[in-house]
Amino acid sequence: MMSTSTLQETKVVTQRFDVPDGARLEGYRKTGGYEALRKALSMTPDEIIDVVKTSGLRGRGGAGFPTGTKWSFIPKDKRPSYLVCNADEGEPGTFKDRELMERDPHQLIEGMAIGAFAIGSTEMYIFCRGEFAYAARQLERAAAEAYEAGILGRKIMGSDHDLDLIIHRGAGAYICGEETALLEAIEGRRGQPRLRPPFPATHGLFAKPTVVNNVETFACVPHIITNGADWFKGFGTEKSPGTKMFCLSGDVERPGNYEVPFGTPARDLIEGFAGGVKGGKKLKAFTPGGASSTQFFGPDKLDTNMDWESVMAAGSLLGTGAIIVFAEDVCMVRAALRYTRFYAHESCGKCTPCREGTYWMVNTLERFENGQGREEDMAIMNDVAGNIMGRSFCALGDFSVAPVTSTIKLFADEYRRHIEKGGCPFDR
Amino acid sequence: MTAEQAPVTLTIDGAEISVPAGTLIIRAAETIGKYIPRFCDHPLLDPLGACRQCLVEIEGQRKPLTACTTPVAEGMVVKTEFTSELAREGQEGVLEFLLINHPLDCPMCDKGGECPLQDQALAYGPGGSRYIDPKRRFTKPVPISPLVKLDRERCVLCARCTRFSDQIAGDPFIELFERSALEQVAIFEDEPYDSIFSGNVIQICPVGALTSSTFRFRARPFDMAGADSTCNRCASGCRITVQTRRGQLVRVLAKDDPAVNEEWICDKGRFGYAYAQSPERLVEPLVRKEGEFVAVSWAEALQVVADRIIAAREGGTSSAIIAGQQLVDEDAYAISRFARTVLGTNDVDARRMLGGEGEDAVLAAIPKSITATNKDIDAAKLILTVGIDLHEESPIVFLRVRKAARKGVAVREIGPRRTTSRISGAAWTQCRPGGEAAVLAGIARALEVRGNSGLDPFTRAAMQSGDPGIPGDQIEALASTLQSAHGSVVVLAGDGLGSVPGALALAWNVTAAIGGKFGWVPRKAGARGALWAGLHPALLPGGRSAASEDDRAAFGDVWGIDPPAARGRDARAIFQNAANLGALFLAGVDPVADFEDAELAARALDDAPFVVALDLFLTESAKRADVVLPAAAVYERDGTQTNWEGRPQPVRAAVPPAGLAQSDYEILAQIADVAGVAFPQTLDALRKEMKALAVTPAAARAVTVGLPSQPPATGLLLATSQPLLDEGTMMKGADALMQTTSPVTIEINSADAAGLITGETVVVRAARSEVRAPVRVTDSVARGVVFVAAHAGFAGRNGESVQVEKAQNERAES
Repeated sequence: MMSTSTLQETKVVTQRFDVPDGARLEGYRKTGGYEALRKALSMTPDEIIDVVKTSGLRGRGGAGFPTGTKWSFIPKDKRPSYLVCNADEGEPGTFKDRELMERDPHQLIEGMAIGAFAIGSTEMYIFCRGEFAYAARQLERAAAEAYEAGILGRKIMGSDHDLDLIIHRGAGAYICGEETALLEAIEGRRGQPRLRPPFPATHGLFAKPTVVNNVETFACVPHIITNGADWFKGFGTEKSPGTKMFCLSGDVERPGNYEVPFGTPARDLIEGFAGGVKGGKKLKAFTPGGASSTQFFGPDKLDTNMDWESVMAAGSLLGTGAIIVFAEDVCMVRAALRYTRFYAHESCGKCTPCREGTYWMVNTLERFENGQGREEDMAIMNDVAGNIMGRSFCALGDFSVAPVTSTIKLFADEYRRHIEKGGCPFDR
Repeated sequence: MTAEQAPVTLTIDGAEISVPAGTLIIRAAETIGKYIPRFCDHPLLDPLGACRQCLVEIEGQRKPLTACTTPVAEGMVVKTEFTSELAREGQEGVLEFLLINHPLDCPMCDKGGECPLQDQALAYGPGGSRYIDPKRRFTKPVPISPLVKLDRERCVLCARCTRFSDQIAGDPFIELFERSALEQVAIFEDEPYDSIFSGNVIQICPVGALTSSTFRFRARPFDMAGADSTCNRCASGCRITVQTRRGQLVRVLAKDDPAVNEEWICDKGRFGYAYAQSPERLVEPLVRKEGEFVAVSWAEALQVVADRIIAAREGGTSSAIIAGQQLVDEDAYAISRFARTVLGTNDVDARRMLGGEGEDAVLAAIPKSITATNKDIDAAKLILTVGIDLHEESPIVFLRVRKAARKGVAVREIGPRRTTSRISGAAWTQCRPGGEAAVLAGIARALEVRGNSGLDPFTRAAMQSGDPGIPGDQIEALASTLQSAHGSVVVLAGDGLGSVPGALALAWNVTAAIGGKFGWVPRKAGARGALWAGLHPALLPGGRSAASEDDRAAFGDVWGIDPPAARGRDARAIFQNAANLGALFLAGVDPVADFEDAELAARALDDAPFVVALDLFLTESAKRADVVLPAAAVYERDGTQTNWEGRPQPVRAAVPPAGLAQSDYEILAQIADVAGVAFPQTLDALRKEMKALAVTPAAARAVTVGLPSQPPATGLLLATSQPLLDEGTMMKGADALMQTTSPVTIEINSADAAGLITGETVVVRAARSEVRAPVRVTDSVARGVVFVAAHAGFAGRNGESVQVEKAQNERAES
């Protein structure tokens, strides 16, 4: 474990955050911007996909699917194909993509342009979360600069490749972060997930082959092209190569995004970069990967290495890398309630288990907070969770149960104290 | 993927079955009689996977999967709730979820007793609920149209209604809004739920969320009686279930028949039954005495009519029959036989509009030829509609064509107004009213250029008279499309073509030339049956010709006498000759309201010395009669109705006849009996004769008739047609349904608008009538055409010249 004083971020995708005009084309170019795209345009699409595959880049949107493999699924003989960036970052505690778009929009555009060239697409979409007004404006300004400079548009950078970028702003539904719901929304329909198969790789946007990647994933791409796959694999672990932006929030002294190599222990992030639990309090729990972690971690998991395989071995998921820290005086029942309210509110309504199950759990948790919880409610909620998990239409339902099952598993005593006190024991 | 894939073998609950590749598990299970519970799944809608009720276990899969979205795979091992704990638990869990927000107001819910939620909760659900918190509340019921009421609390959000509107009906004015547990069905703020198919969403709703405003709280499903029958509101011939409670009609449902209407019917068929129990129904025979109608016994009324027939026959004066096109087959046949054998005349006609040149030849050919069917629509590569607005004239045929188009079948339309805009990919070749013949002749010419030698001399001659106003390249393209679909073309023509000289014959002949199937889709349910029966001055039953000695000879054995040989008078001539008639019979027809020349009809009825009307109501025509005989409504009698395909289907009595009403055939048989003329007295006897006179249809062959003279038409021409929901006698009492009728529509092409703007009130002046209504400027009507959706009181004729002008300083509404 590193001592706090020697902690250094490993800035790859965040390296331009400190460049004063890094968000403008001029500043971006001064720091090597669009050179990766120039290089990519001199390569064959297969060569690009090979480099990305070899680098081991995995999707940063939560699932960790190998990016190069995803790109290689796009049929070569079916045109048009589309490249879509999922910038509908809406999960509680996750705010990395917003910063990437606000502070380095050209990096995203460059990464997407390389991806588009690799899959033979001439039309790219960024689905930007509706609430991210500033990020969207930054993207729009960057796109305008890129068009002006011939980086987007007809025959980009003197190549034979045409490329357009459409920035689509969402209307405020978390479900649109689910890639098929996102595609529905771009097509002008209600954001609700589609039946799969067929998968987006063959029947995506407008029923054409489509790649959907996360903002941070695309942000990695120019660096991989510039520096090579081996350089990228020099960071992180064998199965989780590269760096990762972790979003530290909750009861910490210095919340924010920190970019470190995969495999960095959670303790370094929480106690080191984020300055430890706020006010010197003890840590009660943290989420290793945002709200969608399947299991909250207690202090015993502080030494878990933050990479996909280690977090999974410890019983949860790395997800988007959002670490939310709960101090000792946080009511975990209330925390579960607030999470579950989020899921109940954001459930798209399409499938029964997610729509009704989250509604049920919210009502039960509210009852606990109001002092009317019953001992059997814990078992019932676990059962309700079991009836949602694996039975809902998309992953939103699966993820919605974690706050409830986690807190019942780790903090059953807190639930009982609510019953005994006839209200929330943390209320003063 | 091809349709002819090798079958896939799988196991469901230990039973090995083989089904076509691509079959969904839920359908595969049905083939061995296993019912997997479901709410959102519907075999006629695209799979959705929303309700999650149909979870099954599949060996090798960690999670249970939805049977309604998962296709079978070779060697797949499926376990349903009967053999899998995972599936059973999953289904119980989903049912428990569905019920937490459901009001459980079954005792007062219309759906109770026929509710899939109720039934499946009983069969597959947990015994009780563990949910103790408050349920989601909504205001209810919300009327989403005059016919449909929505209870959002009962809704399980299966999206059957919204998918039906989008996928089947093509009028997606009902949609899901909001999300989470607040997700709800609703209509748009600024657009009404405007659909002639809206009742279907009530029927496919798996809970009591969508209820019928006419049926609400009227009866419990298990307290109803009734009969399966056939709808007589148009020629689609939908199978229906007519339900009654204590002898009163309370509901009509679509009956599932994949070959005809699948599971759908239109709102007219569903909600339009009220006329049958109107207090205005005729319930006893009326005889005019000293100028006034007096109710009399059947015996007296029959005697009056029989005496008159005998007197006329002895006095050498002829009699005639004008019939309707909404009669069941046996009635139509009885009328035809009555005319020929009791009255001894061919003066019989059932047409409201008299066809132009060539119509008779096609009408004579239809009963004897193989014509198009629903199955042909399904299997076609190309469907061409001409002179018909399927949506308004035969709504379930419209759905069939729309379904075919969704699967990729090309649809083409010829007419003065685009009526297929709700059919994906449909292309419209515009012409002026009456110009259909010219377009068809142009197609014939283009086909001939392509070396098709199947054209007859008539068509060949008509080819010379193309309308120069129609772009040749469009016709060329249409001909080429038709040619490339050779052998798999269905041409659908309607009543609109009957009034265009030569058009019906040209359509028939072009179809024959490209090896297609011709479908005659008349507006009225009984038109095809009337045609078969020979309710036509030149035709005898079976499409036989009165002029042909051979054809007439077929009747000797059956009727005992030969029918008259001389061609009879058509409806117009009958009316013109009314003053000289011994007796004029009106059977199920109100010519004063319906005949193309209503004034002539009215005058004729006034002039005729003796008129007998068989009807349900004392119509404007019946009021002019001397004897009025109450006829049974279609819900009150047995019979057969042949739809546009030529498919005979049973009509069954659900309620007894109103008062003393009797079926038309019964009335005629008794008149004959009293008059001392042998006549079949029962349905069976009539059917036996009809069977003996049956003809085996042969491949359609081109007809040959004289060439029509095409009158040159100038200026703005009127195109007019009656909407499905008209203001006819048979809409009486269907108040909620009538609230869904569209206001009078006047449409004009933007090129002819001359400064008129949409919404402005205009006056359309035709020769004998004028109409005033807001105009819609649209490119869905052809240039040079003014379209008026006909309504009561407007007597414009298709193709006549009209003037359109802005209404002068007058309010649109008077």
